[in-house]
Amino acid sequence: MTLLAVDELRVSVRRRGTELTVLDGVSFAVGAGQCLGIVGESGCGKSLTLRATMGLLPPGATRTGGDIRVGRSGLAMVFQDSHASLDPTMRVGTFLADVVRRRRGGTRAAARRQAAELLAAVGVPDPDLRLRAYPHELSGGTRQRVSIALALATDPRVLLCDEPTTALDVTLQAEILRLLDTARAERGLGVVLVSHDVAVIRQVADVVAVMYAGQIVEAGPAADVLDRPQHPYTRALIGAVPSLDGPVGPFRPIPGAPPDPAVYTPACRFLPRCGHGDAACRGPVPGVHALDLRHRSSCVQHSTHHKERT
Amino acid sequence: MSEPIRVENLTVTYAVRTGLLRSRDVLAVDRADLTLARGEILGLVGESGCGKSTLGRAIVGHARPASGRVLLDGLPTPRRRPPGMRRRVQMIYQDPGSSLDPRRTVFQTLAEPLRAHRAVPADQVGPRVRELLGMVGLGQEHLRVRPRELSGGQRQRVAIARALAVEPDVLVADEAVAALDASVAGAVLNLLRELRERLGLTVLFISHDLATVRGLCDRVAVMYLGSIVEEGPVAEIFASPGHPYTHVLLDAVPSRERRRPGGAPLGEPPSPLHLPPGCRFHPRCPAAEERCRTTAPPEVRRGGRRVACHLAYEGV
Repeated sequence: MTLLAVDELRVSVRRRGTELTVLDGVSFAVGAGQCLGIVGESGCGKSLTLRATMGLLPPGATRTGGDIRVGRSGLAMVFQDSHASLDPTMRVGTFLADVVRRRRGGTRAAARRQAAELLAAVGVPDPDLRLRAYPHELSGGTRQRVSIALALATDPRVLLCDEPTTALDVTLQAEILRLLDTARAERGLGVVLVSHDVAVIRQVADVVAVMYAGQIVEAGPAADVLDRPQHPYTRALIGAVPSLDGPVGPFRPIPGAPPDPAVYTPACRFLPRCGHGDAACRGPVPGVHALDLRHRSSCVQHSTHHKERT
Repeated sequence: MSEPIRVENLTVTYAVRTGLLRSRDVLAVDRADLTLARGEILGLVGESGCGKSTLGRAIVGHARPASGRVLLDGLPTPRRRPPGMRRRVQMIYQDPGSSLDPRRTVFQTLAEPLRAHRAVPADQVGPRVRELLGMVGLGQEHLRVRPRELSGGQRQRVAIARALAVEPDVLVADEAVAALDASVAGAVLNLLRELRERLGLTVLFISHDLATVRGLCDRVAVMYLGSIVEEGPVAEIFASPGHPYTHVLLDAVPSRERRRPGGAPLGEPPSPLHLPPGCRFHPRCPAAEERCRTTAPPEVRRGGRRVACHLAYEGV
């Protein structure tokens, strides 16, 4: 069952008087109990995609096209910086109970009880004690758990997570990822996880969308995309992450830098950094969506690469 | 020849306010021993707040030891290091955006330490700046540019060039690539490797990223609540960690190749204001025994490795 479908999303930002299209026809869907991972370098538009979906575009950015269909369900968002979702002047419990009560009604005492239950559910130790704390009194890991509890308090069907573990230590990162995975499995939540880290995406995503320069360039089931990438960008992105198991060798950065939105064209935007391009890459390349489970890539060469490699 | 860096029994404390008028000393680094051999890259890893940055700062001379000492080339460092000594250990930080002066051009940024330390004659400043830029893979076109016009990776290269300007023996890199995408970080890391080969630079690489440490470093030291709990060659420690904490850390690292099952939840480290008795890791340790709760563990050394754990090498 599809909980969220985003179709041909377009967003532009104003820079020095000109409108720049920074998201260019991004389409994806998330089903119940499914985790979609969106991965790409800084500036590729992955966070903006989440914000546009949530209706939280920063000033200066406008949605210029596309449909966002959110079933009967609600969306909730978890940010990298857990301070962003909490009110620094309010005790965690007051804030959380307010949200619970506004959403579910009932008495203050009942809301407070439910707030404690939510904190316990996300693995906060001594929930009753933590309810009385202010956000700054909590550690980063606990604060991120509280912001997840806060997101869950609105009974969303889809959780949008923007780099939720980037600010955390690996031990806490693993725990937060497991927490999201449990919420997905037990509550049947749809999860959209945005990360710059292929290894993080690998741990939890069922479906992966790779973004580059404002577009999805490859999408499909996680195992297909990450084990048999078709797009040279996806291959480069995976190769750039240091391996934990493989042989140790030089690091493999991606030469060059992503293009500026001012020079986005219908041609392949990765071409200047790609070692495999030819004339075909200079023509318009096909768009890729993540609306179903088929493995797709926007690379017009990928079929030939495939032959080379096999 | 003696080691470029030798840390002996080093303790660094911070005063922390515990009440309106009360303050207490917190142990950031507790009796740490560490040696860096010439031309080696040593990784220093651990969770936030474990003291790895403070240890790095003490080595550079930015944090004052409460006891113990730091030796450079076998010579103890005085409380105030003379400029010649300061020159030999340089530091680069996570965020070159804030460690570079936004108003200065790259040329000015690189010329400043050359002049301050009189590293080259005045008429050689220009050529030396160009040489430094080339060394970190930047071109002449970057000379007149200010930091905000550079990408994150380029800024970090400028920070490295600035550190190299005074020809240090040792570079302390504190989370130097943590703010960069892997696609960019790799180039900076390859540069560090190359500089080690070409200049015989010794590097202390402070990081929370174990996969990067595996790819870059020769040896690794693991810190927990101010103490070094394990140290040894990277390949050996990653293949068979000796300390339960190292084990847990390694289990938590996500892999680009596969889904990892992950270990038991570890929870958060205790506050350094209330250090547990015995082994500091025992409240979170999956293997803790009675003696771990009461007695501090001995440091067991074997074949170039050391582990501070009661259970190390038992039954081996």
